[in-house]
Amino acid sequence: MEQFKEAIRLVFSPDKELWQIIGVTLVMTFASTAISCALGIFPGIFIGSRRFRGKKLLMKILYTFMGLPPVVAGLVVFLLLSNRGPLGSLHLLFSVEAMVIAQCVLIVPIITGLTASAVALKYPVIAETSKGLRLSGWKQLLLLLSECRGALISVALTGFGRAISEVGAVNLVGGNIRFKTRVMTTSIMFETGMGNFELAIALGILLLTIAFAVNFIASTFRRETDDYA
Amino acid sequence: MITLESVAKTAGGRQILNIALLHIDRGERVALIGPNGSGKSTLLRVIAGIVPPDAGCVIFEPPGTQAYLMPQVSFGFARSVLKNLEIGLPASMKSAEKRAAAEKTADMLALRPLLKKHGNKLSGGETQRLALGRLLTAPKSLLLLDEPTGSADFESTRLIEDVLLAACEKNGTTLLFATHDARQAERLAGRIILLENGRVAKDTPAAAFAETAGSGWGKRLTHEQHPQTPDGLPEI
Ligand SMILES: Nc1ncnc2c1ncn2[C@@H]1O[C@H](COP(=O)(O)OP(=O)(O)O)[C@@H](O)[C@H]1O
Ligand SMILES: Nc1ncnc2c1ncn2[C@@H]1O[C@H](COP(=O)(O)OP(=O)(O)O)[C@@H](O)[C@H]1O
Ligand SMILES: [Mg+2]
Ligand SMILES: [Mg+2]
Repeated sequence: MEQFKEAIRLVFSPDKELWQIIGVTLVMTFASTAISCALGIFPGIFIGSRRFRGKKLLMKILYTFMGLPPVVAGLVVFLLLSNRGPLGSLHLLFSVEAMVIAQCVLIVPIITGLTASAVALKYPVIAETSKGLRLSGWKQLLLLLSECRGALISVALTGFGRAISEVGAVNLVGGNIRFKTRVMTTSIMFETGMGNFELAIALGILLLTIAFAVNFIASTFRRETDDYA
Repeated sequence: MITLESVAKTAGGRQILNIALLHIDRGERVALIGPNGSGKSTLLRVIAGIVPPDAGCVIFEPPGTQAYLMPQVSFGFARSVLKNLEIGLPASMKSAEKRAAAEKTADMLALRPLLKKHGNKLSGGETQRLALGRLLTAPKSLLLLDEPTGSADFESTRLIEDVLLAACEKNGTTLLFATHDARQAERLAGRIILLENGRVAKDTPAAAFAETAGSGWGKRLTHEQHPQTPDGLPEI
């Protein structure tokens, strides 16, 4: 109980280190989500709306990657970025950049796969309607995007949820370095291991609060169920 | 206006369309009638260029004629009915002109009270009027309509028919539409094509359809929709 009280106190008056951890977490999470969406959404739209050879195989591979164990992704990125690895010369290991790269390996397949299924559901009737109106390719794409807007926001939120809650991969490639690559999840692991439960609980509460706030803000972009005044 | 030559389409290992030769003149109004699955929608999609045929070709006269299709499943985009009606208008049009064209169409199709409603929250019949309205905001030379009154009540059906006839007359539009209703075919079209198993089973002037319905589905249809009067003449 004492620990919980102390945790609440920390939540309301975070110290400098806590702020720093939150800052790194937000930068890493938003960067990973944004880059993954930029890389994953258009391939998803392509896969969801076209028929091509090898599509079924591609979908199977994609679904496999959607369930990729984070530590495996972390290990692969670790090996790529390690000094003797092919990308070792970039000296990115144990940096926020390395964490973002590992996150993207995990999240891009999720974004692509979910976008493809959302688009595949809506594409046929939207396409027939817009082609029947002889709209230009651009206008068709814009209409498809605007019709899928709610679904795409959900896709982005799923990516965000994965990014903010991820611990195994970022721990491996980030190294949980204090004041540099320590994020909320890795510090919860660390502080729990050290027996500092108040800090771990405070971090957990803040993590949930951030996730809720982001979902809440995003959902206001998703409404659009009212008639137009 | 349109000529189809040896157009064939196979799907799921079955031939769903096989048209040796079909010609439709400029300004003609033609009804496509036939049982479920006879290939009406497929034929309209092939002409609209939405589905490529496996063989044969569709020739437009004059070349470059744009075929506009109202699909069997009407769809309202997630924006106001007014914005939905403006979708097909050219980007070069001023927004006031677009709005005026959309409102005029809304008035024709009794959509005025719905202009601010959300396009994907309409009833089936309302969506159908919206889908037709989107095609009628500007004059068209070739319209393909797939069961344009399939979800409409009897008054909406009559309204749609009247609006269509007026628009075709005014713009000299060539009209090809699918329907299950022989009476609607006779009201709107000068020519009726009966499609069975993807083939043209009958192609007659509308007035002669009942007499020449032949055997099979066409005959059962005329029995169903033209109850015989006591003296044996079809009651119209
Ligand atoms: N994409 C498709 N794949 C497989 N079969 C199809 C496809 N589209 C249509 N068909 C089949 O083709 C036949 C004709 O369909 P359709 O043109 O929709 O008929 P109608 O509009 O006259 O009811 C049906 O048996 C239908 O199941
Ligand atoms: N989800 C919805 N939100 C708002 N209005 C709706 C919704 N669904 C239907 N409506 C409106 O309710 C009315 C009745 O619709 P509906 O029951 O589908 O009519 P019908 O089936 O008799 O054509 C219509 O004016 C339609 O625009
Ligand atoms: Mg059909
Ligand atoms: Mg209804």
